[in-house]
Amino acid sequence: MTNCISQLRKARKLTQQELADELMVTRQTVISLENGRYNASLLLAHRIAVFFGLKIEDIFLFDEEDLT
Amino acid sequence: MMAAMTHLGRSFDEKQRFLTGLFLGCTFVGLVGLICYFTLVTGSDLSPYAQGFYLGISAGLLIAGIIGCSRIKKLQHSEEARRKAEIEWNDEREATVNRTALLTAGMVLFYAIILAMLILAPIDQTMCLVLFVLEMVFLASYAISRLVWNRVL
Repeated sequence: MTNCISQLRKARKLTQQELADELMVTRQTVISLENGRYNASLLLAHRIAVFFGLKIEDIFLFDEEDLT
Repeated sequence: MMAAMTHLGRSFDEKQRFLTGLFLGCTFVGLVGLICYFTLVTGSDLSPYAQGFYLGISAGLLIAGIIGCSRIKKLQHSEEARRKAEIEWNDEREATVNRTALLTAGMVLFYAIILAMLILAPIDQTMCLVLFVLEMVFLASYAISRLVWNRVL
């Protein structure tokens, strides 16, 4: 699974710390999410989607192998 | 480890109350231990090793209790520190890291006890039996936890 959190954050000119504060998570979580090392829970994914005003599936992109 | 063990199903305020009680208890037990050490233990016929062990445990509990209480006090007085601690507490990645670390520690302990049993078997059968019982307790608590969490989740 990949995501475009990094691009969305940069488009809004936010630092990782600012995004972390908005999402009520630690900066390390934002870093791990952006690097794809950590997959967000459904709840956090929803919070991220609401924050960016998008749908979850617009932010989190599933690979073929994720779905099989 | 303490964070991981106290993380299960508690809100931040509940955790703070729990830890306040825990650290106050540690301070009290440590203080009583130290008083007993200076009034009773030093004059007793306990071996120097046992006396040192007693002093170490008491002093350790007292110091841990005082440090813990002062950290919680700091959280109550600094809004920024409290906000940071709350975020860290509620952070799902942090919880995953804690859970995984606890799981790893459990696995390491499990195999370390087996290894210790193999080493101790020809030397000290009583100690080997104690370790075997510990291993059985570990496995039983795993099986019971699985049953309980299987129903809860």
